[in-house]
Amino acid sequence: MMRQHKYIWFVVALVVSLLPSPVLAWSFSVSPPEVEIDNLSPGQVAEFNLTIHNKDDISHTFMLTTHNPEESERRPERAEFPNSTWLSFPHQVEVRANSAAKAKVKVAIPPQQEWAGKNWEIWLSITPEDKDFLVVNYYMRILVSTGEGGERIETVSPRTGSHIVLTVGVIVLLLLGCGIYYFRRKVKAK
Amino acid sequence: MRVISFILVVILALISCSPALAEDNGTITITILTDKYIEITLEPTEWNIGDVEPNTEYMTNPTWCTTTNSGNCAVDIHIEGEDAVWVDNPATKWTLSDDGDNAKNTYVLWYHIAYDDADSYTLITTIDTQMKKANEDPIRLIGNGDNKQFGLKLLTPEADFTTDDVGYFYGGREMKITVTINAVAA
Repeated sequence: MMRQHKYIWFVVALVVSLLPSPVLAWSFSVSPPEVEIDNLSPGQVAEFNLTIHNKDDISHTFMLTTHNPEESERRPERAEFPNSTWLSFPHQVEVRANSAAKAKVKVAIPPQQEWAGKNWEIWLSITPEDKDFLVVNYYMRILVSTGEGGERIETVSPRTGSHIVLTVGVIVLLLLGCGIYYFRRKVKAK
Repeated sequence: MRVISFILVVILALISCSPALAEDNGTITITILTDKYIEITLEPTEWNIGDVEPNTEYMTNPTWCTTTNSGNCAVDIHIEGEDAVWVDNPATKWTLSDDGDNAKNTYVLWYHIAYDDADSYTLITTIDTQMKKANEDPIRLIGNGDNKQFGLKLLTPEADFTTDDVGYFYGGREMKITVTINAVAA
């Protein structure tokens, strides 16, 4: 019944055949190309932003997924990231024409001690939803080194450490102030 | 006595704060080079093959596609293919070969780096693989403006049916292929 059709059709270039000059279907960039997170102890969370810059005159949706590279493609001394679900990020990001959009990426290490002292690498893939015959995809390298510790579940953002120092400093100053006030009062009383 | 009590209070306060101090010594460091960005361009992005026959090779010019580094960091270039799908019914596919052999409903794709050894075509599979020359040198675009050219070769599947020793496809289908060019910081 279908034998009258001798050929199969392989249509992939309608746009090019209609336009007078070659066009790029998309133009976008991603920053940063690499993120290094050090001393992230089990039970802790780190977060950062990636920026997708859409340089086209129309808006695009970009798809984000993780990718585990082969050992030969990883940085030296880096092992495969144990579980991609430890990364959380939006799986789709819409970027308006000639605009940039940020996407927040969180890396959360489970609290077990077994994840302490490790060096891992995982890639985050960013690719446009609309695809031509050839499509560009960027990989962002995420390098994670875990510190010591474990078992305690706590959330510490990158800047929390400085907050702790500030709090402790205020408490110590208050105690010193109280002490000085107490001794002066005692001396006066004598 | 009161002096001793006060000193004890201060010491106890410091002891209670010590875990926090110790934790601060283990501050998480996140290193991000925010002025660096990754960007490549491909030109062209379409290959208008047209009508194809069973078990037949089609190829582009070896310099058909130019990949240019438009960012400001060195990148390695990877490539991966996908199964071809019938546009009107994506459940109908041509599987992308992983061994270089075609079969019924299995097609083959290769790439060739321009100016590399003649006929040095490398298989494209569904697994992301770093693009390399015949001598195993990886394709790396070291800075803005650096570019490399490559071509493609396609071998269509074997015929769906044969009549009078001539193979045919079931016609009237529009198949779509996507080839992904991946870039990662070198």
